[in-house]
Amino acid sequence: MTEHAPQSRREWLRGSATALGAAAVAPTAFAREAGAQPPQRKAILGGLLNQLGQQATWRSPELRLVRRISMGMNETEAARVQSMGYDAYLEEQLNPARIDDSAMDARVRNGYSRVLGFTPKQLMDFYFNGTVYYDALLPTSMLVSERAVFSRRQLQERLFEFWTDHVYVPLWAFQGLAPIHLEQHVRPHLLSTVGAMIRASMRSTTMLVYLDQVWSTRFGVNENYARELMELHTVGWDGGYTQADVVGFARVLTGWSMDENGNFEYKAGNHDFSAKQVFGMSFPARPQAFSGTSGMDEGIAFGEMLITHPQTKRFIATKLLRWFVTPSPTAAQVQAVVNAYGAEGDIKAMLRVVLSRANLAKAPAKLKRPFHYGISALRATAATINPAADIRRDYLASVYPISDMGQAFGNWPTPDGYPDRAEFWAGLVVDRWNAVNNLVQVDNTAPGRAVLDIVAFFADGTADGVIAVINRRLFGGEISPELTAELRYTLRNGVTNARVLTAVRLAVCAPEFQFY
Amino acid sequence: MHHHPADEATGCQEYRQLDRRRFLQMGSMSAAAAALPAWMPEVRLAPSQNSTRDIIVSVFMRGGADGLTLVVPFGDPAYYTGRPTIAVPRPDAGSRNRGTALDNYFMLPPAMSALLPAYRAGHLVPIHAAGQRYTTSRSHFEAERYLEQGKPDDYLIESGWLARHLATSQAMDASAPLRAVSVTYGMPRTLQGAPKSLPIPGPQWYNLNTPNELSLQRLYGGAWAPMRDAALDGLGTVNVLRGLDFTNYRPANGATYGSNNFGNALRAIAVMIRGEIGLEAAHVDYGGWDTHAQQGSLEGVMANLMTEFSQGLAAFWQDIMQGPQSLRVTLVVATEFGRNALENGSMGTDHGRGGVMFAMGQAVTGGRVIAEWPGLSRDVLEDRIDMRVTTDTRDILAELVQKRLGNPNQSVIFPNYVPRFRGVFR
Repeated sequence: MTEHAPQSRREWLRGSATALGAAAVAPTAFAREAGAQPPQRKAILGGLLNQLGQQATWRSPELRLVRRISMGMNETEAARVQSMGYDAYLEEQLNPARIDDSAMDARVRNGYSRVLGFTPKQLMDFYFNGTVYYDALLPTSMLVSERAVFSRRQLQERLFEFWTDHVYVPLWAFQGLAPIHLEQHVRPHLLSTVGAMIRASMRSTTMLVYLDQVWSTRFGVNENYARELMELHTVGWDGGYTQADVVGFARVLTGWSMDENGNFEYKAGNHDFSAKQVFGMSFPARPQAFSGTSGMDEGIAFGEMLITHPQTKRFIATKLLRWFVTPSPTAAQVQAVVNAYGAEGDIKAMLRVVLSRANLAKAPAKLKRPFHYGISALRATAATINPAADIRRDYLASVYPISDMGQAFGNWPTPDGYPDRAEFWAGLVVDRWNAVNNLVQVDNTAPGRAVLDIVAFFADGTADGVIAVINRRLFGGEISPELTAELRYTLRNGVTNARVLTAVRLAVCAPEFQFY
Repeated sequence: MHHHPADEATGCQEYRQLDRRRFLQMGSMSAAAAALPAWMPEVRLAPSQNSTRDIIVSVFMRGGADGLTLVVPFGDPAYYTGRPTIAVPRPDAGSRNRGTALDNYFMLPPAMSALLPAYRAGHLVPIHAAGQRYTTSRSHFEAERYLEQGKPDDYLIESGWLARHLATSQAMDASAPLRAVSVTYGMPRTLQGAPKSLPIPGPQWYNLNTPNELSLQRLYGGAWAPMRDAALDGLGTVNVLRGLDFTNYRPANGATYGSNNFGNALRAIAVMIRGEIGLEAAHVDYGGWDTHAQQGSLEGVMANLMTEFSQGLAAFWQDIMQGPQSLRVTLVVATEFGRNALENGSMGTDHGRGGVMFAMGQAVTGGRVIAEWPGLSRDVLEDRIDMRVTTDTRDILAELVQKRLGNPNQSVIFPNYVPRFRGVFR
């Protein structure tokens, strides 16, 4: 089982200033590197996955759509898309309020209303009492998984994955505040605009502490957040800014901080009011203020500039295409999404372009990340998750198998979020088999466990009947002949509970279930 | 039991006798082919020479480790003026936090003192003012990528330098299912595209709990190449690792690995090396070095990291590299960049340029610090804030590849670069 990273508590520490030492050695002159190449700034992303063709058996455009915009196709969604048609189904998922999700809402109300109601101060108190993991963070992980499994607003949950990796903070970030970031700063904007998402993240104290913004003052700037806001959240690593722009932006942002209760607070006394030239913007010197919001307008203006910057449009468009369609989008595909960006990044408008029939028709299959893979196994097999009785002791099927595959929620160590490269994840295939074999089970009905209704796979009790159910539930009727043959082999000695379970496990371990 | 006929048919044995022509024939069906750039020149495979090739252990300090704290240039007065609150006291200071001199210019901070025995034995060499000369970006993700792929400013290469070494050398043990391992959840770019290589986060508990092994073998035999290779190599590796007793392993020379992730990883690597399973390369990530605030060089975040780091390396040295039971293993440590020579406003340091590397093993010319010292006074700093890079990371890695791994294919492993060897390795 994965270790859960403990909160790393930074110590305030002042080292002793010491005496000056011996003479420096003279600096050396450098020769130019032989054969050095001019820099290639054209980002060609992706790689090995380019070689992967479409699954030859995946013919239905409607099912392709469900695979791309859900946490895993199941029988219900496969039937729904085929009755509604491609465009209507996509439009419904783009407007989650139109989807009746009352079962999920009840689940949240019954299991998680306490967790969702915590204030930053309460979370910080839990942190100082040493109980934040079980009081808030572990339940948050469980909720993330359960929403992914059970919510009918599936595109929304795919976007929750996307945006929580985009404006990423670890679950263990500063003093237990991450649930606030996730629920109040990210979740409300999943389908609104890039601008709304960036503005919210700039006021997320979890983010501002995680990336050291709160320590950055006119007395000494800290570049960390300014750099990542440009590199990771808006214009991208090749957005054209310089090191001087990073420092300048850090000065622009001085004063963006938090109060002692963990709420956002602008501290004018820490803001650098001197003149600044940053990434094409100029800020004239103004008299130092010590209270009020004077000077905060600089960071707001710079943020607005970033939100509408052409490089931000290109960066976000490319990332959305990579998430939903292909590791290597073409220039034309990117441009079409950029054209839909609008004034501040209309996410729905961009997704209509990203998820066009034409794009999905040519899209190579993508490898599911561990979270997606584990959730999709639960969805496709229609497993239920027993409510936990004691989360300190129960085996939590919604959390631990995913940790075992390397993607514990919020456990990626750096601010770029979990990778979405097949080359990164493919080597863990044995861990994936083990984890889903653990997850897809019938015998252990303890609290927290996921349990399969194996009888529902029996159909008429013949091997072909069982295979037909697996085909319908896991593959929307598009199973490969190779897997069909292996399932027949598995069931060759007759249909029993144990053999059917073995067959279901083989199907979720099969290559074609690893992709979407 | 895993060598069923489908293996031959799908070509997963190919790595064992590959040559240029076979590479090309395999085309997109091979992960190894993907490791080689399209412009790859004629490759002369490095021969399999069990007795003359070192096993390499690669450690990546992710986050941009502060080289000026890991190995402190106490002889440079500008170090102390640039870091009024986070400097480590000189070896001759009265403070209990003083460093221990390595020579008359550099010292180790207290938290790194576990490395002194290896240094004094001549088996450890820090290389200072090292880094990526031509990657001026201070982005973690760009700098890590360029270092790991062994070529700056290139977004076309999808493979790592160590992967290309493996792809251009014959297996030391032709029957080994696992030539290289990364003790991480997921494959870092350093080893991406390497033949017979897997990320295994916990080698000590690597196992298989599916009843469908034969069916999976057949299904994955026809799957997308990286998945196919991972599956088939993974099944073979499960069997091999089951044969090793990780639990009762007793390190040589009384070495003790810490019970933390880094210690556990190095211990597992030691077991795999001693177990003679044909492992040629191992990689470990050790993250957390992004010390923007309250750095804690003496006590706190960085001191804790350095303690674990140095104790882990020290145990590995003692176990594997010291005394009559020592093995031909060379370990190298790198980071994506160093940190600003001048501290920032929050008792930390922001992303910089030059840092420090380490090489460890019996074959290093250790017991000294290798540095073409650029100086830290304001007027010689890059952008007036950073220690300049005087030794390219590739100078060290390329020397290692040539002298210790016996691979002549420098132009494939470090394209478009003429390394300057620094005499780090014998």
